[in-house]
Amino acid sequence: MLDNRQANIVLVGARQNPKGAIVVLPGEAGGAVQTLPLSMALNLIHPAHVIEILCMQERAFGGSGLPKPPDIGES
Amino acid sequence: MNKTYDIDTLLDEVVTLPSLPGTVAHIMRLVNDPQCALSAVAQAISSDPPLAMKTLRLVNAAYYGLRQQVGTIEHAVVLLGIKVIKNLAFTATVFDIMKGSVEGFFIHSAFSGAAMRVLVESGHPNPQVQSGEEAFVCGLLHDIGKVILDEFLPEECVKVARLCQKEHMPAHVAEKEIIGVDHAEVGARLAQKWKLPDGISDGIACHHDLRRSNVRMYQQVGAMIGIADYLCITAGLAVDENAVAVVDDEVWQLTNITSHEIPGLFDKFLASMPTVRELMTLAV
Repeated sequence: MLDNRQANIVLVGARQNPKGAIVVLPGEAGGAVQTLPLSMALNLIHPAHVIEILCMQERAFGGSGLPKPPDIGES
Repeated sequence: MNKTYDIDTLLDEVVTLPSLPGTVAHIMRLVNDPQCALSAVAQAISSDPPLAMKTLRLVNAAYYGLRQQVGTIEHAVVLLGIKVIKNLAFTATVFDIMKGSVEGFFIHSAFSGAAMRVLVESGHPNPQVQSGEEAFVCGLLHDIGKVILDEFLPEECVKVARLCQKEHMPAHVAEKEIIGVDHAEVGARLAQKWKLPDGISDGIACHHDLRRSNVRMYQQVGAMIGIADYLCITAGLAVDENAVAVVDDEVWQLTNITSHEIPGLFDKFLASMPTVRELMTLAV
């Protein structure tokens, strides 16, 4: 993240019922994790990473048929 | 040990840059003349029937969004203006050059053109690249140096591909290591030979390295190409499925594209995909 925190991106939903990307931020000092929809976390994320997340989301949920990257298997 | 070149030696000893077909070169000269009449451009395109046919196919492609069918070059010139028609005739010519290259290259080039068009039409125009058609041409051409390197130095290009895969390295870095010159330098020289505007040739030259131009406006074109390229590679629309894309922070700063704009730009890019795919079928 732009503030040097490490976060995870989780895609929620399925192709038939997509919910979108969620940013999971670590809790401060061992506190509870914070979750934010991608749209609410844009000011914390570098534009290049936003593109990566949107591509990942499109591959998982979208209908445009973006090619699958070679290192991602079926799940 | 590979023999490496500098760009001038490469062009003197190994590579012959292709010339622009005569009709297209003539059209470019006409359009650059402020006194040029619409009818002269129409006549020049119509005098080359294959080019006229290909240009009309593009004019009527859904990608360019005309609401009416256009049956003649004269009508197209009146409707769209000479600059747009020049860009379409030029696009048809570049499609001809690219259709013989590997499929992934053509896909990457066409979608980079589409991404450039989205950037320019979404509030990021540049004095050098003001219209969507100019932006498309710029993105379409940005990697044309790869076609030339592949034609004249096929063995070295195989080594480049191996090095990229092995070291997870961007192509331009591997080309520098193996050949001494990268595709951006070669593409820029081709754009100069074709007498394209300096903004396009310098933009191509610096799309991986902004220091290759001293002119901020041209660096901005290079930065926009770099981002269009990054978007396509990240989306899997790359020449090689193992392609690696890197964009320096300086590039983002130069274009002023923010994280908040990306979702809107990405949606427009996705929305253009079906029409870009149709456009590509017209090149065959």
